[in-house]
Amino acid sequence: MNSEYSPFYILYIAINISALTYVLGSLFYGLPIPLYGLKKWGPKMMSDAIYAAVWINIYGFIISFLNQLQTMLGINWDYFYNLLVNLEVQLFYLMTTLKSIYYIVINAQLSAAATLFIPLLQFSAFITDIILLIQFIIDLGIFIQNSYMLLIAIGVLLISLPFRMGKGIGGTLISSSMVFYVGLPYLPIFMKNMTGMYPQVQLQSITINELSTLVETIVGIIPSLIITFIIIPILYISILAGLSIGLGNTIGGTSGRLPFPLDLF
Amino acid sequence: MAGIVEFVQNLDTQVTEVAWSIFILAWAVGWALRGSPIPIFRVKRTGQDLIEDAILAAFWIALGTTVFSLITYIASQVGA
Repeated sequence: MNSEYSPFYILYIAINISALTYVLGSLFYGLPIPLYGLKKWGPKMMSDAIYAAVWINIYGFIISFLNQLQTMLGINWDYFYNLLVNLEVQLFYLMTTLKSIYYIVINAQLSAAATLFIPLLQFSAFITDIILLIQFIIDLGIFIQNSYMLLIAIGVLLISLPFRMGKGIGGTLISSSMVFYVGLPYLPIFMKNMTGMYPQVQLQSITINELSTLVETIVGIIPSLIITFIIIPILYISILAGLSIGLGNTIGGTSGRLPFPLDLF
Repeated sequence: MAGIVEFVQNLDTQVTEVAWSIFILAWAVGWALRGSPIPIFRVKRTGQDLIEDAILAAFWIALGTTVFSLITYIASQVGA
């Protein structure tokens, strides 16, 4: 990462911009024009600037707090990657097995096995879908783990802009980085808790021994695969997104944030 | 990127200057209205309000620029 784009450099820009916001606010405060609509920006922008300055100064505390929270939950990113990559390997193995059976059946030209072709192909396509979804979750994790500090810094920068220009989007950026950084590594444990067993065990239980029962095995296993690998991750990511929206409203919302009033008149 | 910080800092300085000038202007206008020989109470009241706002604004400018320049100074020392 280029050092000029480091989170702390962005915070340095942000503290300068929040000073600008503050001075602009006090300029509006002292404006000799008795227009309330214009003058009310004064205390508003001043308190916004103080709020942004508070965020800039507690940045380091927030980063260590997020890591502390992860430790308290008993999770870390290594565990997350290990488990998901392990799952991917198992799925690849399953797909290879399915493809092998398909080619064996097709080369043997068994007319009795002709009914197996379509279910086999469909099932391997379905496994490919699951692999893509898991790869997407892994990529999301890599992105968040690598850039959550930068994203939070950019969010603070947006919050410090004058006239509340980037308040909502800054708050959302901060909150989603925080929630996903802490929450996403918990996904494998969530999958385990919802299904009652580790997803690997579920995959290992798929044994394809006899061609005659192959279709029954596939049909029997699909619903639990859909629940474990598609519905539960999507549900979990939706829960995290909902939490992000709530936290984003708290951080970037328009409700009173300073515990003391600035407009004393 | 280095230009951004300088640009914003120059903007800070300029806006601070404008804010102080406007404080003096508001103060003067406020006293002019308050002391004007016009027997209209609303005008005099507006002058009074302007003076009060100007004094509060001056107080907050002084306090804010001090605190912010302190933080910026510390941040620049740490970040350098």
